[in-house]
Amino acid sequence: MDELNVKAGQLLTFGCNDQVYGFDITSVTDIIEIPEITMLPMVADYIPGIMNLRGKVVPVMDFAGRMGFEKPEYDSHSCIVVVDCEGSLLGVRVPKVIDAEEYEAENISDSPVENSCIIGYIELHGRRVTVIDCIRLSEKNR
Amino acid sequence: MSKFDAGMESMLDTFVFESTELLENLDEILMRTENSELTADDIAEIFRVMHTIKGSAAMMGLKNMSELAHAVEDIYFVVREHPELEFDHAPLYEFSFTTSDNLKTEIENLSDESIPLTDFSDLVGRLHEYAAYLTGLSKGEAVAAPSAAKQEIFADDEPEGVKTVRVRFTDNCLMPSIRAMVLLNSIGSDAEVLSTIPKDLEAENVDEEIADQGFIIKLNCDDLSIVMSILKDGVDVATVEEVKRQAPAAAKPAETAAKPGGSSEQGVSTFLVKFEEGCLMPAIRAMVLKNTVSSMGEDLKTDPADLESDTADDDIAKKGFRIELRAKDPEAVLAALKDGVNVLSAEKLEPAAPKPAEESAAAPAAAAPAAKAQAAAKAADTSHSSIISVRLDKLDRLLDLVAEIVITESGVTSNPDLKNVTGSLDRFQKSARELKKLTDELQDVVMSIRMVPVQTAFSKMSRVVRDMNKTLGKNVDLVFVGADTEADKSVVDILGDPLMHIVRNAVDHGIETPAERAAAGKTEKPTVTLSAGYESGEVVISCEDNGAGMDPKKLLAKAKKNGILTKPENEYTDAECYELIMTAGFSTNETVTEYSGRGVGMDVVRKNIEKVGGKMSIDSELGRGSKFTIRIPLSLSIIDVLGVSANGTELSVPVTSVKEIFRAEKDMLIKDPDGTELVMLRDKCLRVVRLSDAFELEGERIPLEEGIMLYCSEQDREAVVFADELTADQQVVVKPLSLLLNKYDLKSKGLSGYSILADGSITLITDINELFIHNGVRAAEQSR
Repeated sequence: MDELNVKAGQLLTFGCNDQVYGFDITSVTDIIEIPEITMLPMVADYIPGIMNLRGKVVPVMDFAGRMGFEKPEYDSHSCIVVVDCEGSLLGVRVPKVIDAEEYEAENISDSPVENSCIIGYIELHGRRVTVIDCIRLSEKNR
Repeated sequence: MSKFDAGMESMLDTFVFESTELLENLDEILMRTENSELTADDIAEIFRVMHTIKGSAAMMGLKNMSELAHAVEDIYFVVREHPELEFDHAPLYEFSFTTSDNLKTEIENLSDESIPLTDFSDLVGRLHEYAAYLTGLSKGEAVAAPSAAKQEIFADDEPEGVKTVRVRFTDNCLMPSIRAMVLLNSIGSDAEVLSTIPKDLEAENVDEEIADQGFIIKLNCDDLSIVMSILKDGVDVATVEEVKRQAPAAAKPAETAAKPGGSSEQGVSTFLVKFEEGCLMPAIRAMVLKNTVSSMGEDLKTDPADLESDTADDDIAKKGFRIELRAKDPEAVLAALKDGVNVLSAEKLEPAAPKPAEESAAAPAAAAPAAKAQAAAKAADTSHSSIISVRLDKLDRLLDLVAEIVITESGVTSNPDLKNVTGSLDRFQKSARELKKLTDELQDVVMSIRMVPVQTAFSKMSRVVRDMNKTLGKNVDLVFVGADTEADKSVVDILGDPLMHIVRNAVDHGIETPAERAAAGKTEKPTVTLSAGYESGEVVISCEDNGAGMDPKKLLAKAKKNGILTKPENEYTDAECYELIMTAGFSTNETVTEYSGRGVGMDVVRKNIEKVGGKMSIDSELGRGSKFTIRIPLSLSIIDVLGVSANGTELSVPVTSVKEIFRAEKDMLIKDPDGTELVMLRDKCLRVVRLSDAFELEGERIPLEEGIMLYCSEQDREAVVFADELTADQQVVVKPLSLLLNKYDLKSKGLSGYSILADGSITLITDINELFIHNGVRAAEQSR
């Protein structure tokens, strides 16, 4: 019956630069192979462009670039995690998706940094997962 | 507490939608007929609208709306029943419009629980009064024209066995209506009174009417003589007589043959054939029909009998073509007739009793327009049922899916695996082409679904102008230009309110009074022109009036007085002065009228338009008029674009921006000392805007003579846009930029959106106007 615990949610975890990050799975709409990305001029370097997601044009963000990391290697494991930011879709390019893992929101240690796209940190299966707020990540309201 | 019956919530959407449609339909009819003729069709349609609203409102438990609709229905009932009635139509329209407005407001407020149901009893009362007035008028008509009155005594559908008795009172009888009432009571036990003429014994003028025409009672009874004797015993009764239907008069023997009923002769069937209006020689068609059916029966008779006579065509056109014959199989004859060329309708007439004579000549003639009216009503019905409403999100989904199908289709038909297939692919290729054709068509159709002409938003304005003409007496003409311009449904919906404000302002503030116009020596009619069109991926709607125009100095002075200036007075350009009127708290009109408020209008309008990514601009010339222009992005509009590539990036330039495409020769190019590249095109020196520079596209700067030059002009700016090459000429659906990209402000840098092409790739759509502004292309001198 533990699985039906209302407080439990799931995190979609992905790896980037030897770290594990996670989105709350309720904000994830798709996980797709990296499609052709159309270059969009005059935007930040970490926005490689836009892609066609079943007839919708969705901006793509490079997760590593957004976090200020070096450009990682993208291979056949890399994908785009499409998250819903209050109605607008955003494709987040990540080097490797790991798993959907259960977590309890109350176990998250909140990040003390204000206006950060990191909600907090949680220990899952013996490693630390950084939980990402996708709306902050998308810079929607800036 | 809910406004309507519990359990009806689920019906609310449908009710609101249907009623709104009906009321718009009503407005449309009223607008159309107000200054022309109100035909029987229109009356019937209005009647139908009111009847439907009455019914559905009652079903929803909205008693107030139901009663209001009922009251109007009553009025139109009188109008419908008395087509001969001549009266001033103005109050009728006023009442109809008021009702329509009231119902619309009520419907709008339905879902808001905080607004109580409106009490329409005052309006209903006035409507009843007007209905009574019309009824009275119709009676009055009857007095004036006794022949019409006789016709009224006998309703066409009156069942047999109904006796009609006319009672006349003595001349010195003071209150015949009271006597009549007493008489009715006294015969109550011996007869069943169906109706009386006059109907309402308590109405005004009823005494005069009875004195004039007598009192007519329609009743059912076993023994008429008993009733007659009771009536004769009544106080002040002078005479009592039984009135019978008059037999067909012999006065017009020629016409009796044309009576609308069928022949009563046994075994003989009568058919009435009507031809289409456009049928040129109905007599010839009739002859063909006659020949066709002659083999199917005996004793063939036709009316008109002589089909070769000069008047036969006219007669048939007016009355239809009648065939009488002794047929074995009348149904087969009917079917044969219906199959005839140009036949509108063919019907078998049942033997009918002869009608009252007076109108027999007119009856068939009257039947024809009635049939026409029916046909028209049928046509109208089909046009109603051929429109269905669909939720927008379903449509959007459909659009996305179709785009996917197109992409998948090309994925299948040009699949790399096909290369490895040995043997012929001919049949596969054939099917693939077929599939491509179909998907292309599917895409076209689906894309067009969401698009509606701006006409819908425009036509509501006729109503606004009409109302204002009534109250302000300015007699303004409203002219539409490009009303068939299509825009996304949501855009057209958004346009409604701003347009209303602007049009009101134009008529109220813009157009002068007739006296002022005369004083200014203006001879042209006061006109407000609404026009629509496309310009660089935007719908451009403008409202232009030929009124007084605005004086920048006055505006400035006024703004100063109101304290809304934000910089020194002398720094304001004319254009900025005009924009002042879109600032909160500004009104140039000294008196506030019903239509224009206190300057809250225009700033709200601007805000609403800006909210959906639109822009609004004002231009004016003192004494000549003003022009308000709204530009709204086509959120889902299809536009023609030229595909170009610049340093490997695919971009689309709206065709409407491009004036000319050329390649530059070396001697046309100029480089000014600052390094700005210029090109001489004939006698014009134009700036060259490299797309690769404007959009910061990395790559080699190719020499200008190697690429392609697009001479573009947008509003008052023009320059040459330079790209590497021209790649396509296509139609695209503009999708607005994602909200997530707002912070890059791409729109003001010249990117208006993107579009997915048939092969699934994405092209960026440029906004030439913004591109020019952003890249410092100077606006041409205002040449007014």
